[in-house]
Amino acid sequence: MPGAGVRYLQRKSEPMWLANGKYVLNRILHGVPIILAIVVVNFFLIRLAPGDAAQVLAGEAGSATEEYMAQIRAQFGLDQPLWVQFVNYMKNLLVFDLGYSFRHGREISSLIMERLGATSLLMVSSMTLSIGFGILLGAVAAIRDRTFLSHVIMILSIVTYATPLFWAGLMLVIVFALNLGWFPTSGYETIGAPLAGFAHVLDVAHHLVLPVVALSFFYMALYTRLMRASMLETLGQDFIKTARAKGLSDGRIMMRHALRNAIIPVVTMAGVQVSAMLGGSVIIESVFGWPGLGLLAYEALFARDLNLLLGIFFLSSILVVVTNALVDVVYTLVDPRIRLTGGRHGR
Amino acid sequence: MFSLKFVALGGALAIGTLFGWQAHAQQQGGGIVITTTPEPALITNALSSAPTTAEVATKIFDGLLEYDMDLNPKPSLAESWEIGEDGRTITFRLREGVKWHDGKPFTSADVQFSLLEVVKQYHPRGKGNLGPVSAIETPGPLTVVLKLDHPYVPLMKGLSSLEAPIVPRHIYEGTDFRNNPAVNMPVGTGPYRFVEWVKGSHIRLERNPDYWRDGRPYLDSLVFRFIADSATRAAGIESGEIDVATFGTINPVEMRRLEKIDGISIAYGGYEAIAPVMMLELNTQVPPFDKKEVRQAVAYALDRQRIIDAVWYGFGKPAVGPISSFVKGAGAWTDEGVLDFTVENRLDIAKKLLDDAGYPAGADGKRFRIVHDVATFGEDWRRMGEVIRQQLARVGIEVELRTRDYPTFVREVHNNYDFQMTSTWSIGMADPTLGVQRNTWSKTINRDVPFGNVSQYSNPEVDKLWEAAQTEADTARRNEIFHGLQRKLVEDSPIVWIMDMDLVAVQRDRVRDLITSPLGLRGGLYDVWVEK
Amino acid sequence: MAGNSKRPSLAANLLRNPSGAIGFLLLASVISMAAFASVLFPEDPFEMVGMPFEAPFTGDYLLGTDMLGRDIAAGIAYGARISLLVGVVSTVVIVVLGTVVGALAGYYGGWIDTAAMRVTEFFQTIPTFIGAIVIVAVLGPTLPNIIGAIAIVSWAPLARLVRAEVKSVKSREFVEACVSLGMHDLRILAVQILPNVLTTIVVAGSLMVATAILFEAGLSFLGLGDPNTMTWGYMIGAGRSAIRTAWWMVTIPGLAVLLTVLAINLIGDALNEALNPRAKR
Repeated sequence: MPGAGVRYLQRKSEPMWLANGKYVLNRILHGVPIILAIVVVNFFLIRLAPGDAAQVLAGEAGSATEEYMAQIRAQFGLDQPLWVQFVNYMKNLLVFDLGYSFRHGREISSLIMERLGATSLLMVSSMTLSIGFGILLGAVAAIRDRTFLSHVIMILSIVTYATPLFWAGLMLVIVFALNLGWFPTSGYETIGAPLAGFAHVLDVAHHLVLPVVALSFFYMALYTRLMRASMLETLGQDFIKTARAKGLSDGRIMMRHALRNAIIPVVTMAGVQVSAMLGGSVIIESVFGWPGLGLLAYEALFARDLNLLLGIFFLSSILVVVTNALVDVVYTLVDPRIRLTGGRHGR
Repeated sequence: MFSLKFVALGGALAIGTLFGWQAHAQQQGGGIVITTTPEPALITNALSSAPTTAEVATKIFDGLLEYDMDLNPKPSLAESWEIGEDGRTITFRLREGVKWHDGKPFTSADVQFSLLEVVKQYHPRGKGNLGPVSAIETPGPLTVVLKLDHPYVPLMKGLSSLEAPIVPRHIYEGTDFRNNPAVNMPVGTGPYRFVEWVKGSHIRLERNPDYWRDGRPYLDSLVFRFIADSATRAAGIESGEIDVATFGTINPVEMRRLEKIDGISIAYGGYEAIAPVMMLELNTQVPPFDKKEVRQAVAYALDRQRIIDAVWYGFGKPAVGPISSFVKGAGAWTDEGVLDFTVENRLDIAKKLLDDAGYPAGADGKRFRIVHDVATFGEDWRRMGEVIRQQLARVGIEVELRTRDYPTFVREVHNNYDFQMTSTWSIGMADPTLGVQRNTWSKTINRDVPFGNVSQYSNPEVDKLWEAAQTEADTARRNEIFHGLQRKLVEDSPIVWIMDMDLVAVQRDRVRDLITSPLGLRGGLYDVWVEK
Repeated sequence: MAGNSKRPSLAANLLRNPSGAIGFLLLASVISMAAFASVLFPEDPFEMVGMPFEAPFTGDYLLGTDMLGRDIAAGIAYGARISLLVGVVSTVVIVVLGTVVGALAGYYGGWIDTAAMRVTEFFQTIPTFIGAIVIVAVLGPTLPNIIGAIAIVSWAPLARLVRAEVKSVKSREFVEACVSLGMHDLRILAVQILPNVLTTIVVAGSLMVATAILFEAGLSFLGLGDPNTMTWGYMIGAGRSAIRTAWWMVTIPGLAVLLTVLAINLIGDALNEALNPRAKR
């Protein structure tokens, strides 16, 4: 069940929190070379893409001269050999300088940080919502297996999953923004009237509702199905039968034993989903005019703003390494049989 | 305060009477939200002629001139002008009392700096617009004299804020222009001042209270919003969150639906000086399009009206040749003596031309197979490719569509010339020399510069005509040259011209006087007001 | 897997299950539609046969026409071929890759595990959809590239899921018993562990067919579909801008995706129950 570096120990030698803390730190330290390797591979992979930023800018301009193209290339450093560009990039990265986006005329780190807030808000809310409801509905469907309720839950989960995201998004806009007028059609906040404090929070929340609902619907289906399958399996296992035989009440069995065990694939999937959500929200960000990272990456690719794209991939890789380490810790919390050991994997 | 208002109102009334309009009571205040796409990379249009850059920047900067709907020059930063006898000196008298947004006074030094050191250097069309301008003299703070190497009629058509924005010398002089922070926090003399740019969301401009045009602009604020999805933009117009959607932001079929909704209408006009034409460029250097007969056959085989109706929902009209009929007023356009491809028996002619060219139909009716690189400008373009594929199949030409992402498309088609047939649109501008010329003049065959003479069409006779038009000072004789060019080019068909495009916008009806310039939304928008 | 001998054949078992039967029926009709597309609709699905925007069930065309007057029913039939192909081929690649890597890593641990996890981590760090967009943009939007892109960005999560399950199963008493009996590794993996992990693979795999079909739709939505093939994704993407004018252009191919996914899932569930009797209560 657990992630890398997990070991089953018979004896407990040190307190669990200390072991976990050491483990996470170790994992993150071991993650550094992976992240660097990822940066190197990405750097060259991305540059396989035909076309460069100068051509895009010239193309957008509709007309351009040779001098104009040369000026842009020189300014972007595109006239230098690839290895020079690479050495420069790595040098800067070592001091956490992601470089400069000439297209945007801004530091890449500031561009990313500006969007990170909106993205995290969307991601965290929809993950919380989808995992929460996914676990609940999946568990209910398993416990009430082969009842009308479980069929309804399962059919609904397939329907929401199989509905194209942009279609669901547009439908939400049409019904709740246009017909009912409950929510704005798009955007992160009201632009005309700058609000402060709590009014601003409310305003953002108001804009957040539709995109979060659309995104959660999609992911909730996944968690519901995983949870149900896993729960059904757990309920069939011997220790649950033993517990029943011991005369424990159904409620206690569910909470204490079944749920805890069944939740593990959901945790795994949630960890995996973090990176998917970063990019998977491109469509939602596009439909709801949400100024997030997915859209920024998408635009960066098509503008061949490669350093910006690399920067986003870099951030994404850090996020995944950290999440993977945390997921392993969560395993130990839900399944006491699992303990973590240092950075060496599975030795 | 009262007197100022009175003056403003008086001025508005006077103008209204002058142009014979129904003088409506323009109201001061309020703001509008314009949606456009894509979000510009920068907002100083001296550095880029990207459409969305221009849409924002032309509100912040002024040019020396503006134009009326017939493309005649009218005063802007220049109050009056005089063209010398030999056509080689132009003297501009500048407006007095104009201030930059930071409060510094505007002088002739700004004009000299802007035109010679900024626009001519950096603006992608700067060399075309200001080509023969070799020196600029500033005899006084309000007098500017342009010295030309030879007479250049197009010059007077290319001095708007779109083509030659006047930027503040005191901010840029001695700095690296491209990397000056002011590029994205521009300071101009225009009707609106820059306030903020929230990337991925919006740009906000506010009324310039010291604008030199009394009482203008009417609006307190102008917001440009960027929304990635066209259906969402349409929803925004429908809900009233957005007041104006520029061309290309809303799918044509949706425009037709929105048009029927109460309170929303289509804003026609405002593209007379842009004059865009949609076209198919054929690679004249590779088979089968190295043969004139094959190129003509394609021109005959396409049903232009059907393409316009099915793909563009009627926003445009069939093109006759390279010059858009929207510039008819200037006299350069003609259809007299121009080969007409829309005749009744066009399919038979096309088949015969293909037979004659040595491409007989096989047993299955097919003659040959070509690849059509669809312009990566949006789904409408791909749909047009699908229609073209079906139409060319009728004369036995099998078409395979190829779509690639934008940079790849530009690289392969426009830089490597690795294509057979590709779609594109080209802005003709107010004068053919400024715009149309670049698609068929042999000197614009250049692999380093996209969107030039991609067909690689090279014809000494055509070259001679283009070059004659550059230096011809007499308008009537110049128009004759253009008429000759149209006849020759359509006969040779290195490009199949499909449609004179209507660059219409969608607007809420509460927005009034939106289009008052031949540049439309790329004008200053100082006449716009909203009904409360 | 004790008790297997008493059960009737797998197919009979599946069909006896009502949801399995419905699933089979649905999937069979989609497959036969794909198979007989050229018989039912001899015209090219891209051919503009009628007037634009004919509503379904009203005119000459059962499911109506799209904005260019193309028969939507023909598009659905031809699209079934490509969408099924995309869904099935990419899922097969994902499942094979994910299961092999995940099972080996989970069972053996050690350096195999470490190496496998490094590789999956690499693939996981690239945001899925953006990754696929990059691949398709670089290689060009053709069907094999699209399938490849979907598989490349999607296999890593399954590998991790399988690995985690394998680790868990491996620690159970019956596997430990097998190890102590000296049973061969591959045999333990194939006979003892994989059947127990199958639930997870079947559930995840059946959803993956849907994901792949939707993925293709998403790429088409962004203009990165193969322009010479009619797919459901393309139809949805193309119809989306006219969604308010002609609801059927998006809804009908959307329903086709939905029903296909539903069918595959129902079969997946039935399969799960048939293969994994422990899930029954």
